[in-house]
Parts: sequence; structure tokens; C-alpha cells
Amino acid sequence: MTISAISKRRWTIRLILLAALVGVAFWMYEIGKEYSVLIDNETVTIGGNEYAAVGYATLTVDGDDAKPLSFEADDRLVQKMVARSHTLSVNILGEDGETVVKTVERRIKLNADAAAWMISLPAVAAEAPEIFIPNPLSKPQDEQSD
Amino acid sequence: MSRTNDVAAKPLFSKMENFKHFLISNSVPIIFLGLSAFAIPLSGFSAEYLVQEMITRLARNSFLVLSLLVPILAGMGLNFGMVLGAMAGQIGLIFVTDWAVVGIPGLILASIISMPIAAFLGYICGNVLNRAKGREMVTSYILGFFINGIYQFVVLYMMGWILPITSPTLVLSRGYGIRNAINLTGMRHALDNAISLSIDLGSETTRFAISIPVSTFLLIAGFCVFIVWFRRTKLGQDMRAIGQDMAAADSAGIAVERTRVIAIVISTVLAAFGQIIFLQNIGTMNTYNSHDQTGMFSIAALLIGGATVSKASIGNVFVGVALFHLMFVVSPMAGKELIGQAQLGEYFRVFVSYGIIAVALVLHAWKRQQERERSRRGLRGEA
Repeated sequence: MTISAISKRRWTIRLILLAALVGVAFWMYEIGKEYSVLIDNETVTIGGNEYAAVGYATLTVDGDDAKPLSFEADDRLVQKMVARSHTLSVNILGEDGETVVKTVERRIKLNADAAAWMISLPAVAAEAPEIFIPNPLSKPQDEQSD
Repeated sequence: MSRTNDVAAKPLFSKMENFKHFLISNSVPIIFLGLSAFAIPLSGFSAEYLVQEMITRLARNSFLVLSLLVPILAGMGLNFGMVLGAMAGQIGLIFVTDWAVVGIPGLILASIISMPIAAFLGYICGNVLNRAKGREMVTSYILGFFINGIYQFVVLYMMGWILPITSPTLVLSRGYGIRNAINLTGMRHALDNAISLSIDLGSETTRFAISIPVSTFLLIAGFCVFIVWFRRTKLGQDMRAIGQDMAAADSAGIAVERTRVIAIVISTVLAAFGQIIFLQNIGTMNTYNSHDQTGMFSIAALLIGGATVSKASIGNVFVGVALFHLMFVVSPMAGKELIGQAQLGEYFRVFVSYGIIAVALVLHAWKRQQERERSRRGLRGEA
């Protein structure tokens, strides 16, 4: 094997390692990024359909029953979520605030500008096709989270 | 022939001489063991508290101290330039905190970001040290101050202005520059708690519960295995040869300067990782000061463990970290008990920290002189 062949092989290995390192960096960003997501429980109109605020509800993210968020009508709470894909589990409670009337599960995927959007709890409860609404505290955005 | 047999039959040094040599060789750890034995009862700390503190501090500091071993192997002395790596680690943490990447992924991402910065700074440091052979320690110490100036310029003026840092929790209210203290809440104990073990050794009457950050110790163990393996590689053997005799290594065809640069690059990159592990344990980063004392404290710990400027082992690291931090923990309380004021106890802590380094270096110089005299006597057959 010539010296140039060894050098070429060495550089190829170095480039592969460098690419792997960059790949790991992006992967770490993807799985470790923390999003602060606003969850809004106000009456909202999305795509011409009106969804009324839920009287009492609890929300858990990814089945973490230890930290449920409790909502009353017109509440807006913030939930920190690590990574982009999550499962929201909403328990709609009765007038007594304890009996579970209905449970809705919804998978969501956040995008990079998650701060520009918030999740409408009434839309999740009504199993609406679109649950993201613009965050009034953020600058207007052209694109919407899916 | 008979003359050779005579020499073999008679030991080169007497038992007393060997015992004296043992005491001189281990004088630093022995002195600090004595000081600890004196200070522990004075401090009034419980055994549970001290054991827990030692475990925490071993996990927190061992990686940093281990990063000093490679340059010692290459005969470059104690790498005060490890603060360059610490700065690189902190830059990685600033970016990761701005991007809100948390947990273990945040630590890995910070390490990946810091790696090229540390390698670049290590390359600069290695080349500077090649121009100051024989005066590596003082040169790397001063180089640390110089790079600290550049670090402060980057962090205080370029971040938020040229370098995109947007988080209002990081950027100063004027719009650029990083705040003095950064909260690493998302990464706090991320590595320590990944695998942790709680042991309760207490009885009904006594409480003795300790928590062990197993994952951090596993990483440190992996690093130790790496060092043992590295010493056996071609590069490791080259470094050892350079450490023993640079001119002979050069004559043997070893690329001395290149190998020395590699030693410093490895040490600096590992110091960056060490600083990230250190800060995830602390949970708060002091942007402009956290790296300042990293070199001093790590070197002090290694010296207290019985290492010298020219020889250090993995065992020295752990003994040194345990002894140094034992003194670090007990000295303020011992000082308070002795002098009667808490503030004076705090001064006592600082006095002990720097005093340790001074004593260790003085003892090292004395030991070297004794070694020289001993070998001279051995050659003359006077022992």
C-alpha cells in the first residue's frame, strides 16, 4: 500500500468520524431540546368551528401522572416538553372537578418555532383536526406547527 | 565475576535508608493525612457527612484531575493550561443553555461543541510550550491568563452581538455579553442522577445514608481504562520516551514536538469534558470565574496525592482528590473552631488551598534534591 493510499484512507476515516460527530450533535439537539409550550383553555374558533372552554380538566404529557396540569375555564398554563414528539392525555372532569367524564389522547409534534404557538385545550378535548393557535405574546408567524 | 556477586549480595540501600526514602517519597500525602487527622475532630462534622462529601467531590473533580496525566507522561509537567479546556467546556455550556437543550443530550452536545474549541486552544498551547521547553508549567500558567483575556472578550462582547445568543436569561440587559451567573437547571445532576445508588448503612439509633453517582463513576472508570490503554499504544510509548529523555527520543526518530502538541491537545479536550462534568454537578456556572481555579485546584489535588511534576498515576488522582477535598471541607470549620469566627474560617480555607500548593511544590523541589543526592550516594556506594 502506498503512502498516498494510507493518507487517503486516513482522511476518509477522519471525515467519516467528523460526519458521525456532527450527526450525533444534531441528534442530541433533537432529543434534548426543551420547549416551553403554552396550553390555553379559552373558547376558540379554528377553521370556522368554535370550541368552548373546558370547565375542569387535567392534562398529562407522555403519561407522566406525577405532574398533571389542572385547568379551569380561561386558564393558560405553560408546560415544558423535552424533544418534539409527545402524547397529550386530557381528562375532562365533571362539575364536581373529580369525576372523569372523558379522556382524550393526542399525539403532537412540535416544530422549531414552538414559542409562536399554543395548544388549545378545548380543541384537543373536541378531537379537532387542528389544535395549534397563534401565541398572542409572540410575533406573528407564517407557518404553523403540525 | 566475584565482584558482581558481592554487589548482588549486599543491598544497595539499608532498611532505614529505604524507610526514609519511603517517607520522603510520600511526604506530601503523609503531611496532609496528618493535617486531616488533626482537623476532622476539630470540625465536628459527622462521618456520614464527610463520606457523602468525599463521594460527591470525587465524582465532581476526578475527571478534571485525570486530564493532567497525559502531559506528565510526555514530560511536560503539570498542565496549568488545562484552564483553556475549562473555558472551552464553558463556551459549550453557554450555547447549549441558550438552545435549551437539557439533560444528558445537553451534556453530550456541550462536549461536542467544546471539543474543537479545546483542540484548537490545546494546539496553540502545545506549540507555545514547544518554544518554551523546560519551562512548560510557568508558560502554560501565563498562557492561561492570556487566553482568559480572549475568553472574556468573546463572552463579554461577542456573544449576543456577533455570536448568536438570544436567551434573555443569558444575555446582559444591554443586549450583548453573558451574565455573570448561569443557571444550569436543565443539566444539573443530569449525569450524576442517570444511574445513582442510595445506600443506608444506618441502624435504629444512627443514621448513615449515602448516595453514589454511579454513572459519573462509570465514566471516570472508563477514562481510567482509556489512560491505561493509551499508555500501551505507540503514541503512549512515544510520550513516555519523550518524558524520559527528549534528545534520545528525537534521535530514535520520534516526532517530539508533534507528540508533545498531541499530549496537550488530549489534555485540553479532556479538561473541557471534565469542566462540563464539574459544572453539571454544581448546577450553576460562574461565567467569568468558574474556570479560574480549575487548574490550581486540580494540580493541588494531584500533588497532594503523591504525584510529582514528572510522575503521576491514577492512584495519585483519587488519593489526592480525597485528601485535598477532605481538607477543603473540614478546614473552614476547623479554622472557625480554632479562631472563633466564621469569616476567619473562610479565610482559613483559602489559606489552606493555596498553602497546599506551595507546600506541595516546595516538598517536590526538596524531594528532587534528596533523590539526586540518594542516587549519587548509590553510585558512590556510600549507602
